[in-house]
Amino acid sequence: MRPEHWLFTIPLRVRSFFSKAQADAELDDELRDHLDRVTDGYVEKGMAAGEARRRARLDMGGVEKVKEECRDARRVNWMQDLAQDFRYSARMLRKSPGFSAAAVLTLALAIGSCTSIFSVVNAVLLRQLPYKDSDRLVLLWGTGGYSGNRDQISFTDLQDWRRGSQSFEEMANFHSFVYTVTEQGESQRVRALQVSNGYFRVMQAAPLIGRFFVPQDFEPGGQPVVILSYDFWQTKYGGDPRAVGKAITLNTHPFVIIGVARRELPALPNSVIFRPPSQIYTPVVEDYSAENRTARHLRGIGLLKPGVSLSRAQAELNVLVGELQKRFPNEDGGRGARLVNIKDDLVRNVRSTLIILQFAVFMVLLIACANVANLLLARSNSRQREIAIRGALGASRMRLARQALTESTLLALIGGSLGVLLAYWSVGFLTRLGTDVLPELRGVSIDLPTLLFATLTSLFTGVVFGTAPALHFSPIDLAGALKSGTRGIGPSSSQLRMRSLLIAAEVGISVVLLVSAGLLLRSFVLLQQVKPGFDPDHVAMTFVYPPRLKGASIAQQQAFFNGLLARIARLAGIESAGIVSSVPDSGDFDTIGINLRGRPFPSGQRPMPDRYVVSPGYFATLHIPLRAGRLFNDADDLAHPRVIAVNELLAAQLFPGQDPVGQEIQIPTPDFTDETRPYWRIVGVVGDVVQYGLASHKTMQIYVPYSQYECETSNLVFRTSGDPLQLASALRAELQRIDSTLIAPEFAPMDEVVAGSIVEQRFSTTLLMIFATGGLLLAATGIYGVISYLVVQRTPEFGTRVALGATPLNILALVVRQGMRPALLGAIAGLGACVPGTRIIGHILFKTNRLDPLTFVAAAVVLLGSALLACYLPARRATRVDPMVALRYE
Amino acid sequence: MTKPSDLVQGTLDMLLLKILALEPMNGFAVSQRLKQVSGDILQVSDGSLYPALHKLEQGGWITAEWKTSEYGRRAKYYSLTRLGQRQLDKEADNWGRLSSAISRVIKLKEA
Repeated sequence: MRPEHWLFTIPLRVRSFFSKAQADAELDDELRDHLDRVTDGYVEKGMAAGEARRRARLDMGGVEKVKEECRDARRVNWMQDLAQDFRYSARMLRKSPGFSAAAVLTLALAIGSCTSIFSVVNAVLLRQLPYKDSDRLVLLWGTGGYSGNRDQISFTDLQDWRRGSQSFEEMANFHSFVYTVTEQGESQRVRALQVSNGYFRVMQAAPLIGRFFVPQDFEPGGQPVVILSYDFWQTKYGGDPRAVGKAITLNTHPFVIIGVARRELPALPNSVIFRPPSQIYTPVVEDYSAENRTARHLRGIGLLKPGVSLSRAQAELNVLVGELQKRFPNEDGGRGARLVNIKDDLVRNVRSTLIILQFAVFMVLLIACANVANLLLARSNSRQREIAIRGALGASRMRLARQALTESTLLALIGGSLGVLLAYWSVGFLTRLGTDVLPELRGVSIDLPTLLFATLTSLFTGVVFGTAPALHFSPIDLAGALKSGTRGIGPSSSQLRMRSLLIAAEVGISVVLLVSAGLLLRSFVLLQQVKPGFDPDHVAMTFVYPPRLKGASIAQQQAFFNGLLARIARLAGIESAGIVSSVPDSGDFDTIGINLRGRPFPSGQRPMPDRYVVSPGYFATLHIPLRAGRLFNDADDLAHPRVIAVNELLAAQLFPGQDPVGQEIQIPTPDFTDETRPYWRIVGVVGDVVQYGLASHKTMQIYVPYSQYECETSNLVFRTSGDPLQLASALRAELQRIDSTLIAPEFAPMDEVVAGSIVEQRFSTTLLMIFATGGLLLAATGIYGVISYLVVQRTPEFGTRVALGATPLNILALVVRQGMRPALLGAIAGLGACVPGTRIIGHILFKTNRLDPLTFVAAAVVLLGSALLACYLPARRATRVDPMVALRYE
Repeated sequence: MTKPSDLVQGTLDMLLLKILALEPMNGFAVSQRLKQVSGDILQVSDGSLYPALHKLEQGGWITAEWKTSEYGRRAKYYSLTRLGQRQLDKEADNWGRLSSAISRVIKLKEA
């Protein structure tokens, strides 16, 4: 149609749609006028009035039919039909509240869980990070070292890359750090981000007041300076601009505040630094030097130039790193660099979990669809007469199918709206369950994209479960349907096939869910059975490190901790207590490169065991077993030979076939250069401790007594006879009396610390179990519904059979077979689908075969058992059919 | 009963447009005129007249307004629009070519 055409037609369409009644009235008038005139004409020719009117009507044909044709000419009928269909559907749903409630509730649960998982996916995977040009922000990790592909890098590494690379606008080092701020005798721990020059250019940030760092701020020996985050400035200085220029005491050193960052400069995400977000910024004071080349304790971040792809920058860096490896074979041998977009790095662990969960809820949704489709099918059957009547009145097959689809869509939309409400509620639950895994969950909300998703899902489900009944919503045998009794006619064979197919599909999908959940559960149980190498029950930890120990001598340090431990040991309820520099499984760690006497390693290839600086009582407190030699005692001080203990793994790997006790190891020690480093004698071998979470591999470990080695940080671990947290307030008070600058903010029970190392697995396992259970229940109720319905339908037939001599067992077998055959087929298909399907969870499984036969069998047994029960209950009703009652039923 | 078999598809629309091109008139008058001009050869029932008129109206080729008729009753009067005039010209043209082509064919057969 040409545009000018629309000038005429659009107003007409609008008018016919909105003033339907008026248009109809005018049509009536017009036709009546015509009939009157024709009648008048016949009367003038001498016909009787009645006869004339009859002739006029005959000339016209059917008046109602002409009207309908004229209405059709208006062409907006489909819109009016839709409105009418919706009204009609609403009426039908109101008329059978039981059915409607069951369908709406099923859909609400399924759409609700789908929507809430999507809200997480949206917030975590799809939404942009709050950084400027975050698609160009990349993290620079080292490779080939301790952690494989997320190694820390050195200042020198980054400077070399920065000079040689053309792909970056800027790159910078950063590193998280904790300072103790002291002010008028009160101290507070503050998280800091130490950054190299260029960090603020990478983040494309400008200061709110004052200035950011300049090159002079990074020179060793200069005036220490600090930049405040907006939040810290607000809470600590009440947003006073005069804060700039003031001094602040960090770790007993005076720093000058030179600037305040804007509110729009967010902290780096939690995966990159430790939580909570950085409150202040200080400079990384290091110089470019040969010995700093291997001081890999920093991280890197860069801003790519616009239009430069990650792969191009990576290729350039690879060439650069290759040259460095040749130039510094000892320091850089085997060391690479890896670029990751900051977003990809953030979601690296959770992406697959979330995709799996989204997939799982989608499966639950499909099962729900199958259930509602079944309900609708059953209903369309008992509505045969109504449909037949509508067909007889001239409704086309298309029109009836459309009506069926409108009904299902209406159901889905109501279910969807309820589902959104449910999602609002469940997002709170998800947030509580998963904040440790995904700190970003705090930002999850039901926003516009999520609502859009819910709407589309509802419409999609409406079409999916509406199609099956729509196909059957056609008057095949009008006369038969009209003549049959009020009960409606029995299900046709094609409908039976459709139902069996739906049962099979439900069971199949449910099997896939059950197998996945079963595998995850098995893996999680195995994870929980992992022995951490120590006994975490009745043990708690807390951070104790008074700022004044910084720079103190080892003797002063020993005196302080000895006094502290002695006083704590006197508290009622304390069984033992110890000091350790980093607590296993807490996320904290220290590693060092070591050398063996007589077997020096090149500097890049030294073994990197975990290093713990401990008090003698540490082993007893954590129940770490002694395997050979002896533990530390108070005599192991600076006046005596230097001693260490190692774990079994280190002993086995570095001293195979030898007695590790008495061997000597060189470890980096402050106040000594590479050449003059002393050797430490191994006096004891202790059990392996899981350091990086229950799912991690074993690592080599070295223990150094705190009476011989400087401790930069320290934690108190203590074992109690009862609940360790009950002693918290007494302990806190005692610590305050020992040293007023000691603040022990929180006591963490060790069993929670250990459990905390597998929160991610717990999160995905819990959710998948919930979905699998939901899917199983839905599938079982679905089967139950179908079989119950069929039993009612076939009651007269059963009556006949019983009358002809069928035993209750025959009837039972008949009914059960009808439900179990498709269930069995579905289970087989589902297990088959699991063979390639479990590949998507394969890599998050812990020591569990993704084709674990036991899990497969268990899933099949649980499912077929539920299906059998779901068939048995209605089947038992069928056996109680009284033939006389059944036969009179008609 | 509906469309006369001998009335070529689409011809009714053209006839109606032609009749309304002469002067605006109501549905009854159109039916009378149709019978009159075609000399009862074209059997157009009243039943198919009105839907056809409504279709033309919705298509924008004719427009309608309510007027008081000569009988003193309110009646719906149809008249041709600019678009309808153009459509009529086009269809008349097509018809002319079609009918002359057909008559040439018919004459050929007779010769």
